[in-house]
Amino acid sequence: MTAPTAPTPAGAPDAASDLLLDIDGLGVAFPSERGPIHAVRDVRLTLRRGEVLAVVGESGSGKSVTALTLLGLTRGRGTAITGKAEFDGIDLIGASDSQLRRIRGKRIAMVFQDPMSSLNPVLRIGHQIAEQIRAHEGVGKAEARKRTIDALTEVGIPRAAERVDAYPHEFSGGMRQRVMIAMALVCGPELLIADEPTTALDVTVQAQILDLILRLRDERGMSVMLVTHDLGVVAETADQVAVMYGGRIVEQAPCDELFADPRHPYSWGLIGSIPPLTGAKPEYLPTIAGTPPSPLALPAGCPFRARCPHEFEQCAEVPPLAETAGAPGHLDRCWLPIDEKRIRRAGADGRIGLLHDAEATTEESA
Amino acid sequence: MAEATQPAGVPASGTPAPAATANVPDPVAAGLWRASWRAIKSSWAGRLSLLTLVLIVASSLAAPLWANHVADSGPLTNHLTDQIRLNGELTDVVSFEGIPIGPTGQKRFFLGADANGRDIMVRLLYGGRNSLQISLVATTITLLLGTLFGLIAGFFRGWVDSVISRGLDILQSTPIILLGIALGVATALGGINLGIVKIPGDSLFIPALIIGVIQTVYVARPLRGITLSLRERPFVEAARSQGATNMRIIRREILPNLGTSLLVLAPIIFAQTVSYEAALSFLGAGVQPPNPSWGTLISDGLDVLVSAPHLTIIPGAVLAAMVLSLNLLGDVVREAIDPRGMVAAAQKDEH
Repeated sequence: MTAPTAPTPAGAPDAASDLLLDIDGLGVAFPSERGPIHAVRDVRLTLRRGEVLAVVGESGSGKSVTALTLLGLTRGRGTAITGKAEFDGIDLIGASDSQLRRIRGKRIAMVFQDPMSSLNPVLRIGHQIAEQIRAHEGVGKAEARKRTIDALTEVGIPRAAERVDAYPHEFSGGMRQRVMIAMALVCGPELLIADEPTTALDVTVQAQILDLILRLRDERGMSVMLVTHDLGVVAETADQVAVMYGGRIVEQAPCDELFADPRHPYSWGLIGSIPPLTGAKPEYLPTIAGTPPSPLALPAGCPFRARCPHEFEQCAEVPPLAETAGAPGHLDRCWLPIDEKRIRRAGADGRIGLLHDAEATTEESA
Repeated sequence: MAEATQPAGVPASGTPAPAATANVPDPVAAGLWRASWRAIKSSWAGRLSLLTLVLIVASSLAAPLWANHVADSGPLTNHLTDQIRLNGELTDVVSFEGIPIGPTGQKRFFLGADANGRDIMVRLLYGGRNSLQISLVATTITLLLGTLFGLIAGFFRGWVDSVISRGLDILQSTPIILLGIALGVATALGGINLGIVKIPGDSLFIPALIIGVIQTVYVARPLRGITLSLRERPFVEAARSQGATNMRIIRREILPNLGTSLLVLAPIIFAQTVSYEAALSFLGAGVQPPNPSWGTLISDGLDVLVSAPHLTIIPGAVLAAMVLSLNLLGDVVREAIDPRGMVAAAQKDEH
């Protein structure tokens, strides 16, 4: 793979020193009866302190596996993990289990998708949070409890001093996710990995939770890796975006860049399938034709090849993740020349979309 | 990937809890004990069985009181040549033909005497004491060992699970009564001598230990199954992501979740233990004579079944009442705290 300089977000001054997470060539393959499942292939990501990186992709694109692998949660049972993942100079791939345990929860914390099932139903929430403080910092019960109450207050749980003794089922979904976030943040991590933190929540609560994460990011200067399939969430929160497909990163760019000038046909498809808020409503929402490739039988070459209307001979070879033109830090994996991309992605209505003939499709089906 | 399992169209309330469970009092919310207590209180089966249990346990505990202050006789005291005043007449406790006195309804020999002239009431009370003691210790051993093996096998899986599960298979493939008799007879002769630990052959701890170990499989199997499913729950992964060690996950995340199962299993195991103890003692491999227990009392009475049937019937009835009440109580508790039958299902899966 070519090694262009690490993507630099606009306005980041000292690039080398504040690099927190450095992933390069990361591959994860799970064993199965029908051969290895390559869930993640050749992923390269960097994350600076205080930055929000969104990893976007559909189900099975490898985004969650990437996140879990950073904490060593995909280890064992014959999983093959290759490549490099360094957190503040610590090799997360080669780290021993006990080394990783000291990092988990303390320096890298994780918030899971479903707050309903990520809390132990039979333990008081305060207990679950305090347990973690005590495990990592060896403080006394009273001190841990005090900090637990502070943490719950910080994430906006009213009457935290009383609620600390409640059980998970006594909380609503949004409140439970706040508890999960309090739990994740209580030891002051430098990196928060949020794996679809708002998927199980309704839209208003979703906004509150995202605001909360961003506020805490601002206050603490921590970095956030946000795994999601919701481009709306990405647009609101992210500094950097990585789009994943078939276990690979197909495009990576600063957030505004990605939405203004997407380079990979898959990104066009994603953006094009968002319902427009203004203008004429399309009769049918554009979709990306076909289904995601089976991780057991990924097509050779570009993973998106089978569903891409712009496929040509060169796609039989895997395109490198490279900067194509001008914009530094905007990388993509597509062989199309940049000018061609800009022409081809414009839909009939001028919006970005995957297909030229979106209208033709609607006529056919009508 | 995770989002695939997320149900689509979760209502905007943000709580996808199924409406069906809304009316059922949440066992965790009320606390397992309180939920059990409420269920026992509110059904006649629960009240009746609890009353029976309390009566049997209380009277067994009060055995020395009855022996010293009412019957004036110990459980092993022989009155073969004694006479008591019955309806104003002096009567032999055991007649010349060897037929013991029947229930007198008086302070002494309230339920009559056995062939050795011992006070049946006193022996019954002390026998209950012994039986309950053994069952309590045995059940504790079973629950402890079963939880330990079930947790370890279910959590670590792999070869650890194989070793433990095959061990349990071997235990289970042996006829349980035969195994008990074999162990019981062997240990009754010489006691248990493990170097540091020496248990004499007539100790009540020996049957308790034997029964406790043999029954382990009935707890370990279902708990292994439940642990297998618990370890895949997201809160375990969440705990791991916070840096929890295996030990902490087992102790703080999984063990507390086994509470329901243990509470459901405990009365059933206890009932099984009581009857198993009686069976072993009846066959002479449990409590050693002259010590009384429900099983040995029935066995003693068998010799004079025709001339003095009460010797067999009375301890038999107490035993039956005890086991029945425990099973009834177990059912009531199970329905209260395990309404979806998860524990029962795990038990079934394993057999």
